[in-house]
Amino acid sequence: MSKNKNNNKKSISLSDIVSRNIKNRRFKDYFTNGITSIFSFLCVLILALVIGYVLVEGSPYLTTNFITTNYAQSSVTLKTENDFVLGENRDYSDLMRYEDTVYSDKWGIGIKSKKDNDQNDIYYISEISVNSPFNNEMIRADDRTIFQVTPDFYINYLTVRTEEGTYVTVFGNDDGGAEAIISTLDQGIAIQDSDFKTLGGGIRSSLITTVILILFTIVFSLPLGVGGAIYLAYYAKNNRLTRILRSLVDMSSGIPSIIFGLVGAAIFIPIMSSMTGAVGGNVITGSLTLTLILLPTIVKTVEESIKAINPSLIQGSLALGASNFQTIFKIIIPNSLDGILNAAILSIGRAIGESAALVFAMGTLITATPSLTSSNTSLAVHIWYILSGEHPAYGQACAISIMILCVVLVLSIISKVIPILLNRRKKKGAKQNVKPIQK
Amino acid sequence: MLNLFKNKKKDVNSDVNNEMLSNDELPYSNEYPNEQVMFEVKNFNFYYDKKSKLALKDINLEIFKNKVTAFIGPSGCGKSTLLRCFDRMNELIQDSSYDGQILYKNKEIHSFNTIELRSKVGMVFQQPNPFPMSIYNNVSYGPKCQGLKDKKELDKIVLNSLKDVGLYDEVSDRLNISGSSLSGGQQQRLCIARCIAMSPDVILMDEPTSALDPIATQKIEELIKKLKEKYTIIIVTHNMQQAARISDYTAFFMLGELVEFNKTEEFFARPKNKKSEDYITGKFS
Ligand SMILES: Nc1ncnc2c1ncn2[C@@H]1O[C@H](COP(=O)(O)OP(=O)(O)OP(=O)(O)O)[C@@H](O)[C@H]1O
Ligand SMILES: [Mg+2]
Repeated sequence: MSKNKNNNKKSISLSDIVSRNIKNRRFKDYFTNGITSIFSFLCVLILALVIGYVLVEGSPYLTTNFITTNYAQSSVTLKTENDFVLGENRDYSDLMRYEDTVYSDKWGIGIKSKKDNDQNDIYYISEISVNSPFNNEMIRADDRTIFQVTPDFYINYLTVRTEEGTYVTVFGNDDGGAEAIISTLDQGIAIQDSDFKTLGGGIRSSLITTVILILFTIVFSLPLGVGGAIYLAYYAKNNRLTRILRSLVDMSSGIPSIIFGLVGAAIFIPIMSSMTGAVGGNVITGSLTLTLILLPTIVKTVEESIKAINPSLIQGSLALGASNFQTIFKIIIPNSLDGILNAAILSIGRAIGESAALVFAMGTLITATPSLTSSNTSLAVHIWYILSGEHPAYGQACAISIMILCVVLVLSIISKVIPILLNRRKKKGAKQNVKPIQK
Repeated sequence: MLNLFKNKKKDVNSDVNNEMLSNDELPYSNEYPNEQVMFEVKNFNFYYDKKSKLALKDINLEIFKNKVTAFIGPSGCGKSTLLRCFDRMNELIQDSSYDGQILYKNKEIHSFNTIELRSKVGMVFQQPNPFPMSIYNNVSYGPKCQGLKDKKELDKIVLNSLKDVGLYDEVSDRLNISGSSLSGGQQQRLCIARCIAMSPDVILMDEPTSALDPIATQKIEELIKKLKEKYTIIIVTHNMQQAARISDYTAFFMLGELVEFNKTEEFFARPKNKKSEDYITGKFS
């Protein structure tokens, strides 16, 4: 009896411990769960803040102007050679009359306002009558050639000579706006001096350069990377040298890109300039440097997908008397397409996002015309440049960032979609244009 | 590790112009005077892992023209290894080596280059391995790799090969569906058709029915009986009934050695060797 009691007591206390423990454990669970959710919430919050900041700051700047104009402004100084008796003797009936445009019936032009890339109001001549002096009677002050004013140019200032022989000047940023400019113009009989400018601060050439950079990077890095992957997977003997090579490849993906930039600048730029006479970095040296950076990743990505190919397919091909070359192009590459496409996407992403290495290897000079042999900037380097000046242009930087983020988003969606598409194609059966053969 | 593209032993004298014997000119066997010898294996040893593992010991064997030869024996005895030696697929395995000789049509197999040899000696694998491409492209793969481009000729080859393996009636209207969407048995017949499309002399088959159900197996067996009129066939099998049903000659291996080679009826009725008898009667497997 007493033993039994004892036992009972013991079992009760045991279950007590268990239940207490359960509470304890549950508390620990809540605690760890709580911590993880807080941290993941923080991560999401930070991400949302970054993207939100970029979107809010950048979107007002993201205009067609911004994308289609160059960074550098060009300006032209114009005057008229003759005096005009304007108004009655000129026929301006071809002018279209828009409501948001202010017209000068004396000069036969219409002036409109728009925002420049810094969000300031600027005024430009949007309408010019065929018979207007602005059409073909304005000459450059320096070489006296006729200059056609186009809507790309906005008004910096205008100085007119009045009938009395006095001069009146109006500036493009005059508080009176288009009306003030027109009223000043209408007082004059000739334009003594004027300055027109194109919009600056745009990213047109950087955008084009980025596209060229991507193309060259893919052209250089994909064949090399795929070749290297095939070599490592199938040709290289599994000996110490190969293992060292492999770990070097692994290691080099951890090297900071700025060091690659340094090396790229030190090696590729002299080679390029000795071959083409180009001075300094350019798109080619930039994409070669990116290739250096990307090769390890590409080799790894492609090798993974090559290794996933069922070896019996390769054996089957070789057993049918196909050469190595044919086996590579007919079996290995088509079956590792997902890896190769992923590598291409990685390359594109890196070419768009990389800045540190390109600062050295490609240069930081934002030029108006993209060229293969002179310094140019990619979008990321463009950001670096406009933020490194005395007046960092955060708005524009954010606008570029939006574009980069969009591309990155699209790329990651594509990389998710690729395997699905490839699988579907495999299931459907490789649809080739093969007609059923007749009996 | 599989080193898929290494043919370590250089093709000994592949630049010597190789006039292959036609199938009628093949020498006759000494032991079986009615049979013409397609392959002759002489004092052949095969090693894996840098000579540390001897997989085949001193094999002497003849393979006869237009006959089915079955390789049987317990698992790991080296049947597949020997089979893969005939089309030099073993040389893709890193650190493998051999000594001795294998003569194909009375010539050392290393005097042919692998492309030439493998286009004459086809292989069917244990697991059906159709390429992930259309049926048509699967069958025309070999001829295309040899440089045949003529569409009409290719059509003819595909048509005949598919008819030969009895697949044509089943798939004639869907030649551009993927080979991998067929059933297992159909896939294996597609692989045989792919082989036949090269019009080889020899077809090597490594347990071609072990992944198939009984009905598909029966179809393949019938196909093999039919194919031996045109081709020399070597088949590795675990199934003794299968060997008895379809083969003309049987080679029994154990622990890397050829224990007995005989006519199939003789082998199963009156095995000369005690070990063969034990194996046939199921004392071990
Ligand atoms: N790639 C390889 N590397 C090292 N050893 C191998 C390799 N392939 C086979 N072997 C060894 O060689 C011996 C013969 O193998 P093989 O595959 O020829 O046997 P098998 O008779 O075909 O057996 P099974 O009936 O199971 O297919 C086995 O002991 C095996 O372990
Ligand atoms: Mg085997």
